[in-house]
Amino acid sequence: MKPIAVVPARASERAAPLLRGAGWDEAPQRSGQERDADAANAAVKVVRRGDPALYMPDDAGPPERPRRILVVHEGTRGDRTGMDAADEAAVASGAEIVVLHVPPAKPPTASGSLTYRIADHGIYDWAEWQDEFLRRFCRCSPGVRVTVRVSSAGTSLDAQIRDERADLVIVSTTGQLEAASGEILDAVLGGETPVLILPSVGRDRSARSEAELGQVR
Amino acid sequence: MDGVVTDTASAHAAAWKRVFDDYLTERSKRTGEPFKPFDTNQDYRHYVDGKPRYDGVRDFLKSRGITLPEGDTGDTPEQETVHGLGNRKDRYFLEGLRKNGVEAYPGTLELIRSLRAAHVGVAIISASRNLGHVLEAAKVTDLFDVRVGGLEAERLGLRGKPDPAVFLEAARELHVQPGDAAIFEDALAGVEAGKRGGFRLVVGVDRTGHAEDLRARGADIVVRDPAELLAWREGHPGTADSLDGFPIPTSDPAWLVEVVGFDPLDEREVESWLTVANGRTGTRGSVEEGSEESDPATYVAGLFGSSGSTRMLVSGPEWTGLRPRVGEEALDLDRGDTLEHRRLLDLRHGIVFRFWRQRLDSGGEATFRSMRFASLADRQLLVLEATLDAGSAPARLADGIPPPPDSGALAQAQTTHDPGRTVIGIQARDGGSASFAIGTTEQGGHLDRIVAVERSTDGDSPPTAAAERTLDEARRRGVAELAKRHRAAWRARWRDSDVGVEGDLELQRAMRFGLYHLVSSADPESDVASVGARGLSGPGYRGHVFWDTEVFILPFFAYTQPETARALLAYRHRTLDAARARAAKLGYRGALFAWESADTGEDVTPTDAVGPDGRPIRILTGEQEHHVSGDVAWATWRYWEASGDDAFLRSMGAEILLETARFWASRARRGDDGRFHIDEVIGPDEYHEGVDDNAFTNVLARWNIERALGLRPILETIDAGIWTDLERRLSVTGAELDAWREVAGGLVDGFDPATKLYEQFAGFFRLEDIRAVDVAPRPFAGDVALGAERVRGAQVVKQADVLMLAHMLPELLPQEVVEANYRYYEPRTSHGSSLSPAIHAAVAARVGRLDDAVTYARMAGAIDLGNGMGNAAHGVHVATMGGLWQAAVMGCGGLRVSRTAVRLDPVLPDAWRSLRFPLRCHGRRLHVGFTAAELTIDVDGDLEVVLGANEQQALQAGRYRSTRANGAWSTLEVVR
Repeated sequence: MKPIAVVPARASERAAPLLRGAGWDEAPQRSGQERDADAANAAVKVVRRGDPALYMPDDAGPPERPRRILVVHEGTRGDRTGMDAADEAAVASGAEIVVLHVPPAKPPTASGSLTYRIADHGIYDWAEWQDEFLRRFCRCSPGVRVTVRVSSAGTSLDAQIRDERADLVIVSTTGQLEAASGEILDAVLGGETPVLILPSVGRDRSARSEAELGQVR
Repeated sequence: MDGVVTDTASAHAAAWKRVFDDYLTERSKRTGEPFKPFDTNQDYRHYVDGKPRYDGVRDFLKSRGITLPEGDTGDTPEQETVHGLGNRKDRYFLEGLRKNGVEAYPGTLELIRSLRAAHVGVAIISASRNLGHVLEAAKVTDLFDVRVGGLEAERLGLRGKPDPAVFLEAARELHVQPGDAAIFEDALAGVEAGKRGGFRLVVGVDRTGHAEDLRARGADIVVRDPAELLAWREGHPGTADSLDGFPIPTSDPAWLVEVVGFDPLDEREVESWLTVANGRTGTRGSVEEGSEESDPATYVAGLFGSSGSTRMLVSGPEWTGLRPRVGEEALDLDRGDTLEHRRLLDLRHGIVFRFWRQRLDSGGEATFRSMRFASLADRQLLVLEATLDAGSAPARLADGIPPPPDSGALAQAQTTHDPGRTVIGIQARDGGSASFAIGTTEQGGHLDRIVAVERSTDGDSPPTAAAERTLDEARRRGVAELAKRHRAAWRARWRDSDVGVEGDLELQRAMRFGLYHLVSSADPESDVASVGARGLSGPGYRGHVFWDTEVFILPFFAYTQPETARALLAYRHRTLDAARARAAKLGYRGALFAWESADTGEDVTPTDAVGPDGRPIRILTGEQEHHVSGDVAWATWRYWEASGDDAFLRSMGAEILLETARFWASRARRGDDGRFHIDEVIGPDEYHEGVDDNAFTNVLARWNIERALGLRPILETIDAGIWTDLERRLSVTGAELDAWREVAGGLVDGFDPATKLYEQFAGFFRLEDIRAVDVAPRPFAGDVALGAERVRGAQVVKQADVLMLAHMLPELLPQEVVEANYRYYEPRTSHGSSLSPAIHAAVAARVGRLDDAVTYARMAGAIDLGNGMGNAAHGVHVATMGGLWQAAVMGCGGLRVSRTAVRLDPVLPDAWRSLRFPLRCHGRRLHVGFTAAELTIDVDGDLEVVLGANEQQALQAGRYRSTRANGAWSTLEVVR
């Protein structure tokens, strides 16, 4: 992973144990956004430059290592960065990973995408969908748990973060999540939990080439 | 005809020359104009060949600067008018025909016979009014399915070539799209007409050296004789569509699902799409060499293992497995570079093809091709053909076939190997058995594999000997012959079931994709199994059968392939004892069919699960979703109405109707209000559990009882003794029937005449009024979006019960009632079920919301091909596919079939140019096609039809036409 900018920069010392605990032991960069009154906006700006940012709320009191990581996932291959980061952190820290799938309002059309929309019979459909989701996106992360929240993405995250008592949230700002990112970022950046925001990623490394990707005609 | 099938071109040319030379000579004498004779090559080709006779006269004379009065068809051959000269030509031609006879070209006849043997429809077209005379003179009257000659063109008002009208008419009568048809023409005007008509292939026939002219006018290929195509094919004996000896798929996008590349994330979904099945077995479309992402499986219909709610379809051996290798180097998508990788499901022929070019790690290049199918003609057979070409490097394909993995449903598997043959017997846990006899032949990088599958449901050991015998017989026939039979079976099946949605390619493909899987999922020859929710395409729902089968799937079969509908109902009849036992266990009488059924009919619905929010859920569908008994009764009645299959009614149907009615009568309770109520049920909308007086359930129950009460006179008409026999066998008494009558008369249904609304269940209108349309873009899972608790207390519905009722029992709900309920329930429906959109499309069409109908039809079409559910990886949603057919045929076509008549009330969305579909009703075959303004019906015998608001009409075999003006269809007029 590229060096992570801690926002606000004054929180760097406070973030150091978390970064070490997660195995992201590159030296944190200073964001240079100290003058920005809105640290959340500063974090977003960092990400828009293409760098990962760890947003540390003022009142966040992170443990030395994360115990439960909540990964926000829209069900596209672009979310792979978030899962990779969570995997790294889980390996280093032994944290549990909970994937919160927030289906984008408009279903992604890119190949490989998988979003939760409807279910004929909750008995089967949820289990089938969950199985497929894990196989597609979380193959390297045994023990991952997946949950889904529909409706307002922000509301979902608020509720889920509270419910799950996550001590680290990871969000990838890729694909169609971008459209909802305002709400999502509002939710995660408005809470008391540290948030790692990762910039867009290119192709999924599991894909062989664009020409090879499955397309239906 | 002329010049392609029969050698009449010279006779025509001679007749034309005689007419025009006579006339021009006489005219020259009269006017002093120089005489220039008619040229039987240039003039014939350019001005008269292939054209209606009078057009030919007019066009030729125009080329000489001559204009004559038109006259009319009654003009004598001596009159100097266009029609007079035309009639003179006709006289000369018939004289020549009588004098000299006519020969048919042997090569053309050979090709036609070959096409007919392969079940390809053949039409003959001619501008000549003498088509019938010529065919009789040539003794080839029996070779053509359709004739469109000059007389027909005149009667139908079709313009002559180069206008494509006659060709389009022929295609329509053959029930093929122009894009699926080929034209053989020797006339320049005919070639141009073929091109203008959008025909897939225009073959120019050049017997006189005008190939360049034919090409210039649009011929795709030019042959000297159609037999050349036959000769080409004989050099390629694989199939009718082969190249270099290997079959090739269609290239028509409306008949093709093509997956380009290989995306590991989508792979299991693709495997579901590309399933090859025939109602007996289903094999997922996994790549032959296997991959980490693959879930290969072959399911044998009706072969379930394990017990209780975990009872599931057993997967057989991975018979498509190969280990392609070049020298010692394995061909693998993960090794080297993939230069090309395509998989194609040829819907028309039910074959999955694969083309793959790979640059090897070692630097060489290899090309792999395969095709596989589950024979629709010989349902015990599965076929795989593959080639591997690596230039001069040695290429091998075959590998051993391991026994299937144990998923918990398999008791044991036993394998025996002989050279070129592997036999694997599998025994389901507490279930039946099956044997796979697998014969493989490999030589020089080409592999043929034939698999014979035989099953036994009686718990005996696997029927190995039978499978081996079947394999021996199949190997004697060979892959090419098996493929030919399979293709022919599919073509025949499509003739009875294809729905043409002109103007919407995506929906057209989704429709055919759905019809392909519907046909693939059911077996008309056996009552061993019914169609599970995912057909035979995946492990989803463990292969269990739901109400989906009777309500969503069965109508397609009832109206296109009644034999299959009968087999599906025979399965329910076979499980009637289990349904009786279930009702008795719950304290009721009669038959309560399993909410989830496997092989025996016992209910195998799970009782607990974990939901998306991680919380445990108690599953109540098995306990409360009792409408399934009404659904089976509904399908029973509808099948009988459509088919007139009295033998079924007396042997199975009546018993189902009586036992389900008996269940409802015992299920209802008399309330303090003196009315009858049905408490604590779940309707199709499963967001609301344990509700009382669900309108769908109660109305269906009442309808069910009324049908049972009406059985006696019907049965007595069929056979005087059958009612008495049923009374005795089922212990039905007069007092019991009176009690049923009382229940039916007193059941509340939630209908309010003032508002014309049905309340979905008692108290529904008092729930929080949340409109789904305001919550999130639809479709969405309401229970996830709002939470299960809130959705229970809200008017958001998963699928609209009342609209489902309107769709199933249109005779009970007047148009204004349907409209009022559509207005109310549609915005409140989240479509959180794959079953919802298609039925909404159908109802939307009935209430004139045609844009809604298209939107919902497309939503239904995307359930699998767009992975709209997100779980296509576990199998396709066969019920949705049946629903899509219903949306088109019952929704837009307005089809309703009663015992006495077929009713059609077509409406066409603006997004479509036309809709056409075949039907089988009352023992007749119909083909219905319509645009917004015109409708045609072809019927092969006497049939009573009601079109729109018109009076019932008695049709006889022939073609009928109606036009629409000011929203009303005209009376059907016979065309011929």
